Amino acid sequence: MNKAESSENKGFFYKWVHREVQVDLSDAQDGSDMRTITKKRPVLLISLGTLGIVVLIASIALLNWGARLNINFPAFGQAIANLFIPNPYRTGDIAGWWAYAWQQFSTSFLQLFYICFLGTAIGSVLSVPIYYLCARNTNRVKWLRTGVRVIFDIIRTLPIFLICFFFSQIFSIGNTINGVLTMAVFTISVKYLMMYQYVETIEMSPFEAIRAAGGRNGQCIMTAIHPYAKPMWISYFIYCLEINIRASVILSYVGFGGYIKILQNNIENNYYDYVGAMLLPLILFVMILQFVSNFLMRRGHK
Amino acid sequence: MKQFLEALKKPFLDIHDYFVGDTRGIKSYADPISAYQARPRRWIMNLIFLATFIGVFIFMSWQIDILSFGDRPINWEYTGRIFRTFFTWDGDFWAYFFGFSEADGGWTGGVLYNILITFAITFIATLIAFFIAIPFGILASHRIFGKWAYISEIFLILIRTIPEILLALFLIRLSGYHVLTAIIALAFHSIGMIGKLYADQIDGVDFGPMEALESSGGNKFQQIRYGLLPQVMPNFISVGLYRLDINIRTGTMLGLIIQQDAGIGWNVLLHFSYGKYQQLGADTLGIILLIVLVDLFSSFLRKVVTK
Amino acid sequence: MIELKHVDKVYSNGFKALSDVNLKIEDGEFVSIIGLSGAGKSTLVRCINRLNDVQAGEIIIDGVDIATLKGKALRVQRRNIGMIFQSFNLVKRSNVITNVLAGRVGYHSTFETIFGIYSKEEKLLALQSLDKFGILDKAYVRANHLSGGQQQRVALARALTQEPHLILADEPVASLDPATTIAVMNDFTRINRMGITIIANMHHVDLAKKYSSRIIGIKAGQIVFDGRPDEVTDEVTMKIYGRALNKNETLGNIDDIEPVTEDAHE
Repeated sequence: MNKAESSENKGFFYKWVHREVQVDLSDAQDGSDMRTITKKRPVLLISLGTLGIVVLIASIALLNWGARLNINFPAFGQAIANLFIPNPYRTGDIAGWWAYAWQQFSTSFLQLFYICFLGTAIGSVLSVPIYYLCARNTNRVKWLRTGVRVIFDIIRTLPIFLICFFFSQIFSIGNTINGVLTMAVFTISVKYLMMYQYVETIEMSPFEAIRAAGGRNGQCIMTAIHPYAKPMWISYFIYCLEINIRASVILSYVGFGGYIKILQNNIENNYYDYVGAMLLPLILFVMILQFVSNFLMRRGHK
Repeated sequence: MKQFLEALKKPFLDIHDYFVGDTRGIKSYADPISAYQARPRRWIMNLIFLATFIGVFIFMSWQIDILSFGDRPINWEYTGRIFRTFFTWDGDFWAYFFGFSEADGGWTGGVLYNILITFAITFIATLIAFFIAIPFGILASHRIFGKWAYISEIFLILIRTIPEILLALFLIRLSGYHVLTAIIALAFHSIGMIGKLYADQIDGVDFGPMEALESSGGNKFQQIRYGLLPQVMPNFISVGLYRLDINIRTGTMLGLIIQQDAGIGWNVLLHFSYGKYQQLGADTLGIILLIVLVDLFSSFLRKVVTK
Repeated sequence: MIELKHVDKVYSNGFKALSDVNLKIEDGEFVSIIGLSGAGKSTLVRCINRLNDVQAGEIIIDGVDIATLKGKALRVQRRNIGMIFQSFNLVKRSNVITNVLAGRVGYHSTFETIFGIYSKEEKLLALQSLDKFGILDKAYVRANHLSGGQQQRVALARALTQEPHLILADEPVASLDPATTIAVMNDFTRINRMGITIIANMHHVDLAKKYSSRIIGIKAGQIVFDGRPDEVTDEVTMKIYGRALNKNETLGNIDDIEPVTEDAHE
């Protein structure tokens, strides 16, 4: 009761937060044992909710909802259905559909996969020294750590489209090396962050033992930290490969030919049977990679 | 039968012992010399791995003809000029950045306006996904629903496999070149990602309150509503904020497909296509600004929420 | 010979762990350090190989002042000092022989460590050290598959592979069960007989009395007792601990415990 009395001279906000309610504590719930207790409102949740609503209203007000809205459920339904229905003028029959799927898979899709794989491999290998430079427990030189982090934090903000633009200005548009280097930079920017955060959680006691045996910093990392980081590196490799394949879709807009460009043209021309045949390997590959990376991560955490 | 299986396994175990060592610790050595002779030849295995990797690397590089960029010599002078234009932060640059130009007669809708639109689209999409993913995430929790969770889990994986950009291209048939298309594409993909993270969060919490409600006769819905949601809500909000952080990167690119009124992406594509590299530099600055701000804001709020 | 002169250690939070410690340890001694937790036992041991920096004073090992060394010279000194930890500090994801060979890093360049290049003599030395502690059969097993006592023996083998003149031990048996404790302590005695000086922090006073040749009592960062084990009477422990010994500070009937040399594989 003392608390309630002392709240008399507190401000409005305090009273609103600490509200007093009457509760019945008797077993029979007949009002024989009424008490006054102070309940605290969930201020954080309420303020976050208010913020969310305000931003939502502002967002809705900002967007241009009037122009070019063209809702067409039948056309969309038809498009989805056509993914699996061979068109007599293009794929012919189901055998033709499969033949097209195989043809696209064995040429253009594999090429895209190779680009993504090479980029992921290069980026993953290059990210190793970077994340050891960024982690607090493996690099004690503060200015070096902060400097490397800031550089890669800035690279991390660049969309993949712009990274590819930079490379295409060096090695003229349309070369595969643009894609490989873009994927490498993108992989570094994704992986260094996840890896250094993981490295910071690795226990330091073996590291200390190697240091006591007269090891250099690099030797301590290689013998005491790297065996723990390696399984995570491998599972993040698969994870990065998967997100790279999905992210590579955007490269067709930077003058990048091949699978994605053909797919984009097919969608724009409404050749949905072609689209379905081309999506099949993409979805299968991404799904397999997701299962593998889920499995590896679960095993790695054990 | 058992002996037969043992005999079948033996060559494989021998190979394993030769390359990896007696990891089961069942062999015994008379003296250090014999232990030394039984040492694993890991370097052979590592060499095979390395050779395979390099072989795959060279094969793939050859397949995609990676050296074709050497056909035309690199014109560093041209490249340097492009990058100089990109980083020329003069009056025109800032006029475009803020969207006010004396020459064009006032408001032209510059970078700031467009990154705000990108943020608005991303925010709405993430908010929608935040709520829709809650039931899917709960249904995908193995600790609550056991084997049945696989249905929702596989559904969420299927959703995740389709890239947002392709989805947006598809959805143009549904709602045209309109912001709604961008929002649906982004939200749809986010449901898959957020749902999975929700399920992970649920599997990591204390199930005591839920079991207490179960023992006092609450049904599954009541258990989840009163025993689980209050507990995991901070984690859910944290996941949502994290996803906002990631979506903003994709959100900048959705303008490429939806074209006008859908944020900075369309400007990026236009300036890239028409070689207006100074404006492209302004767009890039805007994107970096937006992503850094959202990143800081989201990590700050995440710290507050999970404290 | 190890000589500590006026050693002071102040932690960054202002806590004064050691103040004016003077100590002289001859070669071949088995020194136990006893005292309350927080008295500075651990700090003293970790200062000797500079895992902790000291603020003032000299730590002279075989004529070299280690307190002011840096870089390569410090690493050379460190590789001559083996160290045993309470929680073994093995790389649990690597196999036993890799862990033992890690004691040789001080003799190699970083490049050689990255590719795991060790000479045949070093590998044999590592296997011999394992053989001395009776765990040669486990040489190619992953370290996390071993029991606590076996892990501590791997750590001992690692320290021995350094070919040290001195072994420091920071509560080496505090996380082991009594039977394994006795076995590991016997291993320590064996190492001591090879002519290696041992400085160990001990939690159990009776264990220290039985196994060591000299006991140092430390209280609030200062040496309050220095003498032979038979001089440690109840009065002395009263002085060191400020109270009578707790039950957990003695192992109890040491002589009755049968040492377990080969504990069960988990």
